[in-house]
Amino acid sequence: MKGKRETINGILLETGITFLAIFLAIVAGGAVMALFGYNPVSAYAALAKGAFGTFAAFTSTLTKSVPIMFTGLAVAVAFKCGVFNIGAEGQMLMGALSAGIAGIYIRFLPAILHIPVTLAAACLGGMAWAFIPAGLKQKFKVDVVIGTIMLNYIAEYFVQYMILNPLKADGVATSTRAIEKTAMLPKLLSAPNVLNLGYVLAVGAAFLVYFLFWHTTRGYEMRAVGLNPTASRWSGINVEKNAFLALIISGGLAGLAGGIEVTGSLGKVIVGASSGYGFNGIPVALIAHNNPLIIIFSSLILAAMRTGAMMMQTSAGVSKNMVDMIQGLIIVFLCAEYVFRYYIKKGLEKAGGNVSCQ
Amino acid sequence: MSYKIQLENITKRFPGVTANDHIHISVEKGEIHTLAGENGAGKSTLMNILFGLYQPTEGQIYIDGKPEVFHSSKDSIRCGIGMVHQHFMLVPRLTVTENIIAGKEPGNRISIDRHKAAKEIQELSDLYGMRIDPYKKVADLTVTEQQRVEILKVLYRRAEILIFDEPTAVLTPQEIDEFCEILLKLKEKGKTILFISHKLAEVFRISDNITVIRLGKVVGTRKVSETTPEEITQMMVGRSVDLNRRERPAFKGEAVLELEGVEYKKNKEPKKLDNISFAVHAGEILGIAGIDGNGQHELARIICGLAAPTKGQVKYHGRDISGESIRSRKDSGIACIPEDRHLEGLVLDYSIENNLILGQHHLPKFKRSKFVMDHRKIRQNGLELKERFDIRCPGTDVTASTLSGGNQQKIIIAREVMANPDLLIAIQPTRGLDVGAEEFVHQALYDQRNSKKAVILISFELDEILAISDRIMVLHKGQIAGIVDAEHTTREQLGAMMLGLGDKNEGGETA
Amino acid sequence: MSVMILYLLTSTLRNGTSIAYTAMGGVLSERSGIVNIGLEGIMTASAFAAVVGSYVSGSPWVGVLAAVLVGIAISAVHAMVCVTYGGNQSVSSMALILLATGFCGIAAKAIFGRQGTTEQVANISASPVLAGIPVIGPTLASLSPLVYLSFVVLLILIYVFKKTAFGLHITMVGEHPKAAETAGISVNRVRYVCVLLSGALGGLGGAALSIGQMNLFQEGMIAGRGYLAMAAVIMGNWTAAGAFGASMFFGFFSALQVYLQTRPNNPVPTEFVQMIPYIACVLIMLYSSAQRSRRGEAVSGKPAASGKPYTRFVQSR
Repeated sequence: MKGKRETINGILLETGITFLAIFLAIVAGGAVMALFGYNPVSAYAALAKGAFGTFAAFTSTLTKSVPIMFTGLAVAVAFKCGVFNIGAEGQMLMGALSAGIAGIYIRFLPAILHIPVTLAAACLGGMAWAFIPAGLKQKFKVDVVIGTIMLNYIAEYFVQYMILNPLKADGVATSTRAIEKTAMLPKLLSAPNVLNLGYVLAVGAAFLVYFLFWHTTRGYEMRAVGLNPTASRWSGINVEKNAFLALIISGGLAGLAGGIEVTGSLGKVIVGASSGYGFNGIPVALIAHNNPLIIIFSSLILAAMRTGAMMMQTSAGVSKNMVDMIQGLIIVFLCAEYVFRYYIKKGLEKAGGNVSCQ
Repeated sequence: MSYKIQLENITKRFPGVTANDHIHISVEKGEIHTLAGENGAGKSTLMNILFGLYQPTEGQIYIDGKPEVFHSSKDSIRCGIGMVHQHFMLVPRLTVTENIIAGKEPGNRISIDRHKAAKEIQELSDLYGMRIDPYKKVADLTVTEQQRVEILKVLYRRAEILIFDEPTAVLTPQEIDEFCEILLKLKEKGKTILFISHKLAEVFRISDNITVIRLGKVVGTRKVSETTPEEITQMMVGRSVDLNRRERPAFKGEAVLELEGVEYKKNKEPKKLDNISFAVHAGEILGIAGIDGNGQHELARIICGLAAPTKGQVKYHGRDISGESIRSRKDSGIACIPEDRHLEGLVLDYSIENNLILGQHHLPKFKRSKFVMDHRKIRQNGLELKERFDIRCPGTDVTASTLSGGNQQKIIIAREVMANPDLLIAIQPTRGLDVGAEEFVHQALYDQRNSKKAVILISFELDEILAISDRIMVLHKGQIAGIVDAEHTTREQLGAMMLGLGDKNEGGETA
Repeated sequence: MSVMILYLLTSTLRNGTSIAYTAMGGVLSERSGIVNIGLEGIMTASAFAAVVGSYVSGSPWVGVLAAVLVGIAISAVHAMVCVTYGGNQSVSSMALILLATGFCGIAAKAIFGRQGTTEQVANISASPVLAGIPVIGPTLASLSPLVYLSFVVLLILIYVFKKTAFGLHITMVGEHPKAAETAGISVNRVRYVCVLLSGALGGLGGAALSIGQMNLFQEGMIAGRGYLAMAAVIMGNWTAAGAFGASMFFGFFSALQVYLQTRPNNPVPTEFVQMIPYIACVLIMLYSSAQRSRRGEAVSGKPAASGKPYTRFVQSR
């Protein structure tokens, strides 16, 4: 375990602020809705009903949290190592595409093999896409933010091309042919509930990432690089290699988000398969302060917003974009942590005020 | 009678420390007043308060007898106070003129009158005998010239009171002479000067009065004509000073590290290191002396593996390691105490026990299997080292950021010594430490030597070098100005070599 | 052939202008030491505000004003988090992007009753005043006044950095905030002004797209232009003129993309044509980074204190 006191003050502050931020964001979001003449209470009620109203809705929320959990983990892994990966969207798309190809073209394989092969393809697809900005950064010092974001757009068009041309289903569809049944993840519940094995895999991934961070030498190095690259270098840690690896692992996780969306829910690759899941990963990681275990829950919040948003749009008439705004507000209020830290630092006239930050 | 500056009862508390404790100082107009004291005594804090960068917790500042409160440097500048900082506050990419006028530009709101400013600066610099081209870029200036720009910056703002924070730390003895000339000229023109230093030679040459500060308190003020360097030293340290060298063991083993014709340059810049050849033997401390910026940093980085020499070889136990990674060097027994403990030595947000394994975390003794760490062993290691090196902390699981500078340095030393290195490189290991911590560091270096290991000490403090080292190598402009036996060398001889005038070498050449 | 060149040229200006405004804003803010990767969000919100302003008042110039104000308001949040409280600049930027997209979505639905798009509004995509000029008149008139204004802004910025005290202060604050503070310059004030101005310019950038080039707002219409602007800042070595030039470069690739798409019998699939600006961006970044590392950091115009929060003189160790 990591040192208890290493972050105890920090954890208290972080948890407190996180809840406060979510609360304030909901209030502020409500105010904005009221400003535009909506009834925030009924809107939120619709949102909550959409997300948790029935058991089926709840399982749908859980299912939606799967890709978000993966992209959240992806962002967190990179962030811990000081790399800002805003390319999870593109990496996820490439993962989805790879899974689609493996799911469609590999045949006559038993499910027990086909599923791992398909998911491995997804993971590799995401890694390959992350490899480009990671390599550009390591070899040529190209800014990771710009590299990853540009590759999002390129992936979007590339995947669209692949879906609409070589992989196109018959008819006027904007999707590929269906993947083989053997590549589909088993369902955990029967209809109308929708949970599939993907959820278990996602939670497993969260624990794996936790183990990576706090129990492996690699994780120790990655966190050290994220906290202080200079001291890490002096101590013999290869900073560039760790940053590179972090981005590749991050890409792999994002790729899995795509793969599981395809093999678990969609059954094919569709245009816009990622639809913002990649970007959702950023608030999810931030809310969880990059702690992989907390991401299991923070991804649920975002998933609830996404499933609830449709209900909110149809029954209360509020645009589903409200959800984006609330996410933005949460982050803004999370920044209040800096405000607190600022006043703590300022007001510190006695010793011992340690706030761990990352 | 009224004083130019009067500090009444100044107290400044930082979290955990009282940097200034009820300080009284009075300075007359036209006086050169020295604040002397050891590192960490609180001199700089006091001057930053006078310059408005810190606000005092208690106390009152009087300028010309009037009480003043400074909320920022703006207020103090308005009162005619100027400060020449130890670390220059200059932007390399801007010209001399731009650096000087920033914040007080001539001309109207729409455009700066650069030529008028340059002319004025030229006149000012002529007046005080400082030759400076106002159109040159600061990046192209030497250290002395940069310091002059700093002084001009202050004079340009019509300062009557000038504060100098360790101005001679970066200068060679000859440059110090020129600098003293300038100070005397400033005094001649009626400026009041506050001068922070712990180099007593120049202090006695130019000061009128000396105030000694120790542990945040004023020990006393003396007229230069009525005191001696011995008395001041004793006041600074609080007891009679033991600068006597400790006895040296006769043991001298084989060469552990050898550099052969090492050269280092970056892009088109001039060579930072040129034809460096020397050896460090087991059982000796090799001190590397020189004024800051003469290649010491580059040398340390090359030995540790953070930079690769452009020419030449680095041999460790006879094997060429110039191509090896930092880690493989560490694993083969090269340890390093970096200069900046916050930036280079510690991950401040890591716990103490995690910091105690930094750089050795990959060794089997801290792992359960190839990839998995063993937290129990890491904890045990932390507790052992805390005990052995007397690291004062509530527990080894708190972050390193919560400790004092001395205890933070102990973490680094414990870690590096624990690796049982054949070669230990310490770069400015006592910077900013109090006397107790300083002794601890020195003892650690002795222990290394006495257990027949090789030690390199890089320091800008001549006294430290002289007291600790067995042999001393002097760097000047990236070249070896000489390698001498510490026992038979005086400060003056070292000073001459630091200027590149030395001739007492064993094979290195004169610049 | 000459028709094609003329088309590409005007189209380059049209497409480059919105990026150029934002990039110049980026230069201002980064030169003072504050990185804003949320330019995309500022452009989104202000593009929308411009349409609303024009829709409500009937005058596109009111739209421009609204865009500028919204740009300033959003960057004020960023300034507060990054300057006053020393927060993480990337995190704050992400919040801006989400806030902006979210807000535009709801507002579009609330005001126009549609999801993801607005109605068409009065725009300023042409400058009829110039039509009277012989020969080149019609071409000049086909460009938005905002295109011309961008050149004026460029000249002003060049002048500010070269001649004025404020320009000197910006450089000082971005390079060595401590030096600036000891010289009596308020680091935070300079940074606030720069970040707010960059918001205003980002606002113009958004307006130049939604009512300068088009006449409506659509979800996702910024399509990475904010990020291209960021890249342009780096490519232009943190100078106003450089960033402007780089933006026009991106404008050219957008123009090329549109041109190739509209050509009949295009052998290259549309999707690949659409990728052009983004691929160009990656390649250009690659080139300029390689160039920079070959010539050494010394020639890089990157402000030394860029991205680093500055806390006023406190005991550092």
